[in-house]
Amino acid sequence: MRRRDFIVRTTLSGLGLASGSIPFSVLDDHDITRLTILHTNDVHSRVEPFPMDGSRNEGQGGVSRRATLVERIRNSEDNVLLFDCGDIFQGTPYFNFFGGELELKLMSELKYDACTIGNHDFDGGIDGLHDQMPNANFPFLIANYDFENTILKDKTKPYKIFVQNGIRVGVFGLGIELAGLVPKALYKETQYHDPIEVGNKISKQLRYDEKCDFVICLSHLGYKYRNDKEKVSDVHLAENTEEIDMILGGHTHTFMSEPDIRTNKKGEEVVINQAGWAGIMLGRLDVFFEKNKKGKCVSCKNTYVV
Amino acid sequence: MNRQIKNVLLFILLVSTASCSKQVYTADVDTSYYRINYKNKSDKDLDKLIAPYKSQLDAQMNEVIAINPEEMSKSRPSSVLGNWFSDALLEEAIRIYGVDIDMSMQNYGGIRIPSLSKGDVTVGKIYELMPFDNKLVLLELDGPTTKKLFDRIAAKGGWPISHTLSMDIDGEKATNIKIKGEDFDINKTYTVALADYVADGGDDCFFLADGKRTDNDLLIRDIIIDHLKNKSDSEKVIVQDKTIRIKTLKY
Repeated sequence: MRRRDFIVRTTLSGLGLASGSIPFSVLDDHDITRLTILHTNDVHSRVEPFPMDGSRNEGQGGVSRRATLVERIRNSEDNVLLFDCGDIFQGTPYFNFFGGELELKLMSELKYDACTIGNHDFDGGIDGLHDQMPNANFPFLIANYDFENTILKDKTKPYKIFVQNGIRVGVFGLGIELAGLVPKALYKETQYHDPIEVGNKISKQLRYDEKCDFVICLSHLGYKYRNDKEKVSDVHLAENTEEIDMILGGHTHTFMSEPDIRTNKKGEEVVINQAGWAGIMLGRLDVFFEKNKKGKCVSCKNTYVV
Repeated sequence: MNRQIKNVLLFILLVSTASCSKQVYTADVDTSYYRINYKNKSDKDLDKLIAPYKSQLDAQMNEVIAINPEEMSKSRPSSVLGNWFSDALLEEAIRIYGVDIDMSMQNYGGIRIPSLSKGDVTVGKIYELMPFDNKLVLLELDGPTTKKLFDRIAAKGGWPISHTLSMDIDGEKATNIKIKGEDFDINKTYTVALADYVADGGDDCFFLADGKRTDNDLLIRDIIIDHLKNKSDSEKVIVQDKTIRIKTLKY
């Protein structure tokens, strides 16, 4: 309930009033819409929880448990979007034996709204990914991979717009450079384009042409790289673009204890979040929108599925 | 809630949001964490969907093929799990290729579990340790290319390497390199057993792509599983080597 207090507390303190515990119901019939964004990344075929074998993550995660958690949140919130930021595949025998079929079927059951593509999603080859896609009832969003000369031509979209209670949420995907990371025999003729350039272009398009109120990037670029500061990351993306409001990330398996708030080229804030890996964590960000005003994240919580 | 209070609050809210404009929503993010313990319910319908896949896997994956006497962790620059894994690779590579081989190694990201827990080692655990369909290739590298590989290992913070190799990491370079007890010699050629993923240039090892190479169709995962399966009953307990093979120099 802290987040509910927060919005009221903030507004009151803006008037110099003392904060107090005030129920959220005062906002119920006001022009505020709450958008609840849930996200996972790098689930790596972790269908079942980690086994109880004394290892570091024993008993954590599990898609079936995540399902009840997501359902509970859906039951209490009006505007829920659920995303995955790539590396759905590879890591347990479920992928080796069934090629990702079960992972995508389960995500469809959980009503994922969209995902992006991670490097390991090519582990069954681009043909393997293609063959599994019909098991997903949600789109694969990727704006900086050009699949023109591959079997995935026209099978992915750069972005999708979700309209929630009149609010237009533009969501696009960005993937990591594949050369040097994924054998070319797996990704074949996929062309990689600079994520900053593409990110800037697409986010502007979403903001100005598509009139989006909020722009979210599903990224598999990685949060940041301590040993390679030049390597493009979510932090680079946030700081070198103009119209991205939120970056949901992956690849670096980063368990964040709070979102990283960066400043974009226009001096506006960009929220970066990531939810560890293996479905141990479900990220949650509540974004509040007021009519005619740009929404900002005022409450973010990351929930552990243990 | 009392309607009057509600209206007052609503008024305050409207005034404040109007006067403070965007500042109302400074991105001062309120974070909280919910640790849900494993009493957390599973979704019955999903469990039903998973069940047929699970039962197919369990039949094969739950077979116990070794006993691990103590948890082995993976870490940089050197680790017990990395030692065990690369030694097994070297032993099997020598057997498979029928020649003496100087060293073996595995890129750090190629081992996908943070640790191999104490107790039963199942086929499924080896799948999780090495989920990739990588094959074990033999490379013959000249001295300068071998040095490049060692420097790459150093720059990456250390990889699992076989007992025949040791080195220090000095910044991003490998120094004090010993191969089979002798100093590394840039004028020699060396044989290295490693994953085709790396030999193909993966993990930024593009300079290996032109190395003289022998291939074999066996998957590393299957090689390791058979390595354990083929041990006699008296050898089922994994022998751990805790030697630190790579040291990071600190000044």
